[in-house]
Parts: sequence; C-alpha cells; structure tokens
Amino acid sequence: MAVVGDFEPAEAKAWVEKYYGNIPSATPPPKPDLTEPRQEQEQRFSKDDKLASKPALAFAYHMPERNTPEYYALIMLDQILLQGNDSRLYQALVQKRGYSDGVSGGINSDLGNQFNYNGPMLWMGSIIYDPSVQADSVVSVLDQEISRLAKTGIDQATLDLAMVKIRSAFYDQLSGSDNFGRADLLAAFALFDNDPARINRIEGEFRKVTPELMQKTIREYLRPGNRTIITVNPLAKS
Amino acid sequence: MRQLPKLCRSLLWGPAVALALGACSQQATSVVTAPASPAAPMAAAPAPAGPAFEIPVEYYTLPNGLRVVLSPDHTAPTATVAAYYAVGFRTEPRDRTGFAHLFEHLMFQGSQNLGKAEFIQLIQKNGGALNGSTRFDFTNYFEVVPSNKLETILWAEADRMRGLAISQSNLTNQQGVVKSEVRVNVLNQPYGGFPWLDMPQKANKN
Repeated sequence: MAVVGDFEPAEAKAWVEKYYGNIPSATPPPKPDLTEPRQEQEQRFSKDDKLASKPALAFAYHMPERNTPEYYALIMLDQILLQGNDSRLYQALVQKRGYSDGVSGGINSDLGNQFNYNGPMLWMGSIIYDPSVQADSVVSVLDQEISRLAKTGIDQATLDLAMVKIRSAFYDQLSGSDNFGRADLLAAFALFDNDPARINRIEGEFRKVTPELMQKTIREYLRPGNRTIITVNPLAKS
Repeated sequence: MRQLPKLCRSLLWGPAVALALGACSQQATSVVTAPASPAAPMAAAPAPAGPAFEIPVEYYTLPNGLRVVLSPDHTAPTATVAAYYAVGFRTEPRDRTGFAHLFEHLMFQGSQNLGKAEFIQLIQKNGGALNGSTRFDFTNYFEVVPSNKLETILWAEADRMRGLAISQSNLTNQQGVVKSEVRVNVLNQPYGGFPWLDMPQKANKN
C-alpha cells in the first residue's frame, strides 16, 4: 500500500497501524511457473474482424527479463523506434510512406507501463493501415528500420535523445496532479521488488546503457525469430 | 475470452468519467515530440552528480505482512492511497478467466461497515476520486482525497481489505456488469481486443 501526498508520516503511520495492524495475515498461494521458452521461429496469425474496415497489423517481440541491463536497453529502443513523432517507425510508416496516420504500442502500454508488471512481457506495436498496402510491406519497413539500427549502430546522440524522452515521460508520470503515477510505481516496486526506493534509481539505470549493449540487445531480442505477427482481416462493408 | 481486465475505456460506475480517463493517462508511453537531436555532438551527457530531485520513500512491513510505503508531498493539499494486491489475470487458469476482474468489481459492492456503493459515495462526497483496475500482475484500488480525509480513506480501504459483503445478488449483478463491459469494449468494437488481448495469447506459449 502506498500513501502519497500531504500528510505527516508519524500521523499516517499511526493510522495505518490502527486500521491495518490487526488484519489477519494469509498465506499467498504458490506462484505458478510462467517462464517463457526462447522463441526460435517467427509466428504469424490472422484474425477476421467483422466490424473493421481497414487492415491492421501488430508485431510483438519477447522482452528481456525485467530489471536486467538488456531490459533498460530495450526500453530505450522502444523510444527510438516507436515512441513519439520523431521515432523511426513513425517517420518510416507515416511520414515517409503514408501507410497510416499513426503507429502505436510500447511495453505493457495497454495495461500499464514498462515498469509495473512482473513476468514475461512483450514489446509490441500496431498499425491500422490503408487497404492498398500489403501486410508484407509493413513488415518489411519494420525489418528495414531494425536492421538499419543493427548495421549502423546507435551513437551517443541517439541514446541521449532517447534519454530525454524517457526522462520526460518518467517525470510526467511522477508529477501528475493526482499523484497516482507516483503511488503506482511505489506500490508496484514494493510488491514486485520489495524495494520502492528504486524509484529514485531508475534514471541511473538508463544512463548505464551503452551503444554496445544496445547492439547486443537488438541482436538477441529484435530478431525475426523472436517475434509474433497478427494481422486483422477487415470484413466490414464500408 | 481468456482475459477480462478492466478496460481503460470502460467505467465501473457512471459518474467517474473523468477519473477513468485519468486512469488511462497514467501510461508511461511517451507522446513527447522531442526536439531534433542537436547537431553539435554533446559529448556523452555526463550523469548529474546526484539526482536532481528525490522522492521521499519510507518503507516498512507490518507484522501481518502488509508492505507500506509513505511518500509525503506537500505541493497540494491532497492525499493518494493506492492498495495493490499481487493478483492479476496472468495467473488465471485458462478455463477460469475473468475472475480477477470480477473480484475487482466486488470490492466496490460493500464491506463490513460500508453498504453497497457507500465506499464510492464516501470518496466522491468528500470531493475525492477513485478507481480500480485489473492488470497482468496486480489488482489495484486507489483514492485521491483532500488531505484532511486521509484517515477516513485509510479506514475505508482497511474495511474492505478485512473482508467483503459478498451476496448472491451482488455477485449476479456484477457478473452481468463484467460481461457487459466485455461486450461493449471488446466484442462489439472494431479492433476490439486487438492487439492487447490477442497478442499475449498468441505470442506466449506457457
């Protein structure tokens, strides 16, 4: 439980003791093993959508384990490839080719953020695109942008830019007027890491990421064999 | 459906529209349009000597196991309480899905000292806001109130942590609500469940 805001800690502590201290404890059930095997082959699926009028495509890559150096590197790759209008995929799919008006996604972005989960996770993106475009064209742009990063490498200026975006989003999250974003991270870090104080160390973890680590992370995690693609077959009559 | 988390678009109850939107906006995904990378190579921006600002964290565990984080912030006269339970929908058995989400709804239907809907009224009539949601690895409940009501909310949150008043009529009623949320937000929406529900079920093998 996280309590954030305008209070005196001693007083809040007394209230917590008074109201929660005598709630009986219960033994949590054993945690099932949810470890994912390393994916070796790309998977593709398609689904019919009788309400959709345009095709759509989603891609997802298994993430490195949470809180490892590669995990922080992949969050930076998400910034470079997918977040914001300066991102490589937005530039390539929307600005340069006009396949769509947007591309969205991230890490746990539909149900939280890249920090508040505990288990296997996917880096995922999706795009609803013009019916004149083939799904393979979208995939090929994705391949091109990733292999461009792999071939030319990621220089310090690109890393610095990703860092600006990460800091901006992170401190926005910690500074909302309702303090919910701050309480959310404190509670999640207490629950999953038994260490809510790591909220103050997150920025430092990103600063440790080097161009070499970025290369290593691209090679292992952004390989086609590690991904799943789902296409939406639109069946709505427009 | 394998997973039925509460959708950001959905509402637990009518009047909390602004709040539900607030809950959605907490995602960390950046929509920031960063300025073009400066042409002048700034030699690897050195990390600041110390963090520019530090969030106060006081952390302790009660003898019954409850982990408590206190983080004072006096910039506005409000207090936020967030109760997180390490139960999400990730661990639901394949043939028993939706239970975590249904349980989340039942947390608003009454407890030992609070009747049906009284928890919600207690917050809202004190000028506060609240919501709950079901995620991969946790279920959360949070309230934002004027700071002079912090004790009241701590009491109320404890009341439902201690035990719920689950009746057959509440259960039947909320089963209907949850089913309806799925119909409205997933089954009858174009791209409903795409890709957020579809992808984890296809990509993951365990």
